[in-house]
Amino acid sequence: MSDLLKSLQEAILTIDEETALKVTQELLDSGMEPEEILESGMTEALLELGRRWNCGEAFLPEVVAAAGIFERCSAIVEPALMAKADRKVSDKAIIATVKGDLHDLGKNIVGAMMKTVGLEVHDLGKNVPTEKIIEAVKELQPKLIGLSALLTTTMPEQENVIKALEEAGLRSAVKVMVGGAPVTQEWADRIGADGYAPNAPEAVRVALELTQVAA
Amino acid sequence: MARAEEVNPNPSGFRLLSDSQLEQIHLASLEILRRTGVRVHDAEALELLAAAGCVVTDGDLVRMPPGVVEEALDKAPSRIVLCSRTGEPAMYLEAYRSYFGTGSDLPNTLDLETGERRPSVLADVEQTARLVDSLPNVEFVMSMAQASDVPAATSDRKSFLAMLTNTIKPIVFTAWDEHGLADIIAMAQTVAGGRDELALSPFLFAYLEPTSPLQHSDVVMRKMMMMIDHGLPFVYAPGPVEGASAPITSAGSLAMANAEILSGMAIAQLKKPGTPVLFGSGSGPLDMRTALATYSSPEFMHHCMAMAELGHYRYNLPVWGFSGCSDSKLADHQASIESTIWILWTALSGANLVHDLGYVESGLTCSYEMIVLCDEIVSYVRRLMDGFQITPETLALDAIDEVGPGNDYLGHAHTRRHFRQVWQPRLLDRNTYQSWEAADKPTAFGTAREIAQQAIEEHQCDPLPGGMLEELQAIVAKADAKL
Ligand code: B12
Repeated sequence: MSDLLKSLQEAILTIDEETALKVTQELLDSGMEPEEILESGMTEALLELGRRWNCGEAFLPEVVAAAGIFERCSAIVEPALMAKADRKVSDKAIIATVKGDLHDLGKNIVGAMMKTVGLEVHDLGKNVPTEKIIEAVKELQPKLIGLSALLTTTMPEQENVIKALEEAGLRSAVKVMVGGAPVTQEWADRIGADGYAPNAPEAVRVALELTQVAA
Repeated sequence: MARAEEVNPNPSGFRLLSDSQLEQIHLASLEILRRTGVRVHDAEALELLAAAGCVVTDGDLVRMPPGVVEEALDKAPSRIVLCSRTGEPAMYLEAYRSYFGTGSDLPNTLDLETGERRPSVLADVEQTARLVDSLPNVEFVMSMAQASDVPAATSDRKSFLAMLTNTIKPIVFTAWDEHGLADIIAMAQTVAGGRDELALSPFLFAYLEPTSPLQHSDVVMRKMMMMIDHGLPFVYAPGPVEGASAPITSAGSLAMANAEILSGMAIAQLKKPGTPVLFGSGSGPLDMRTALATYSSPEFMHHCMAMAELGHYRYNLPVWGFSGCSDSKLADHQASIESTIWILWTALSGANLVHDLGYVESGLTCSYEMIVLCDEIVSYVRRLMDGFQITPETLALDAIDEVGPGNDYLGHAHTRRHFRQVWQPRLLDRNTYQSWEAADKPTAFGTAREIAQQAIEEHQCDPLPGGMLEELQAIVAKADAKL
């Protein structure tokens, strides 16, 4: 690996945004393929951070900050990527806290973590009506939807989204993952969700599993 | 404004923050409201704030001049009295008087028979209420359980009715929305004999919360307006999670949470001056290893202590508190350690309405045994806080002289006069090894379980007057019919 690529990884791992942005630009200027910068440089660093978090060596604020740097480095390589005809696009995911529910911390964390494995995450916010989710699915054509619900009264909204996807003929095009403190695997099975995770690291594992199957 | 310590001095003298530190927090909160502002998702509240001189931009972003906030604070009453269902005064929320109760809405319960964690059911609301009704040191109830065996949309009414029928102690409740709240108020007015009676001697109290950071949601605003219209008391307590929905530092999270409360207070007092609002907030750090909200940490306790001191010394408002809650998954050593520290700390703070006894698994699971254990801890801590008197009689110079060097006090009249004042445990074991062994080696947990089981089986709560239950059930049935 080039020294420059290594220092890009190092910059992301140590949350040194200034260096990360600078090195990304340098790599691009040096003529390296944008895919390689993205995959071998940036994504590798995030995956490594995710591994460190899983074994208790990294902490959430570091992971979230690194995901932010990742996004801003992506913006630098993006134009070059777009310019190529045979580009490989990253998988998209939508996340939302369902209608009637204002608890958004868990969703925010899961969203930030999913970025660490290279998913392009679109966060629709909290208290999101089903129709809005369906619209977003039509527009973005994501591989994955993550639905968060923290209240017994709002859990049925997760089921409503799945039903609405069926009605719109979109169910087979997208995997649905559910979560939130009172949500269980049994609930996920009952409403026909494709995946469930009790916490953010698990959510990432399941998200990867689901998007790779779908690939 | 009369200061709290003139009414009932801080018995331990403990202070975490000085007056000037409290002032720093207050000033920081005012600056947050002036500079950053809050989002208010309610048309009526926006109108009230704008008319009072707040600046509303971007549809619902409200920035507030300090004067609006401070004027509102002056209008809030310094005490709230909560009564029993039968109209007797039960809790004077004022000065340093602390009252303890359970918490609400737990999706899981540790089964009292099997010990297994299972989904909570309506019977858990009934049984925890009956248990609390029987306990000497727990003064109010919350639902504890979030019943999974009834339709979710009307579970708030059913929980309320379950509490009403199983305890006469005051009820702190949550409602899903203004429709649930309207039904709950209707039930309470039926019991109290009308709107004015209920407002004067309320036995119910609503738990309302802003959404951190710095948002007042539409649903909660509608609930608040309805409580105000009926003259009923509530708390508007934020639950920011430090490092996630609030700054990670205690001072920053405190200033922000306080800004959320003060802006809510302004809305309430603008709507109706004199509205009874309890002051307080609960906030601890997100665990950055597991990404979970914790319920027991030194930082959470700092937050609550500082809130209590703001209430007592800066605002002269009665205070909301947390206690007896744990991150442990069981009613075990960890839960006992965390609950004990919490209860002692909260008693030192003099918070008035203190909830969440019996909470384990960070606010996700109900433990009957922990409710009973907490009852014992509260009793112990209260005795500690009471201190002791120094008078000629308690100094006992006559008895000391009469007994003299070398003899004993066992048979002396002074001992007989006073030994009953010594604190006695109900549950903690003080037996000899032999009698403990002969009694099948009881543990604190086992005894707590037995006390809970016995109360649930045998305790009788004062029944509602004849015919009233049917009236209340009709209100719930009407809500069910609309499902
Ligand atoms: C903070 C909090 C609030 C804040 C929320 C602020 C915000 N910006 O989010 C406020 C104060 C607004 C609030 C309000 C209420 N709350 Co609340 N709240 C909590 C609390 C204490 C912590 C939640 C939290 O943020 N945890 C930290 C995050 C990181 O954890 P998490 O959300 O569980 O997410 C993790 C996993 O679940 C998973 N995950 C989450 N989402 C997803 C999605 C996917 C796709 C996947 C795979 C995984 C996943 O990964 C996450 C990271 O590890 C919980 C108690 C608890 N321990 O959960 C109660 C709790 C959820 N609230 C509860 C209640 C009852 C309410 C109210 C109704 C109370 C009231 N007084 O009216 C209102 C409802 C408002 C509404 N309409 O939504 C109950 C719910 C009971 C139930 N099952 O119905 C709880 C359990 C507490 C309790 N026992 O009372 N609350």
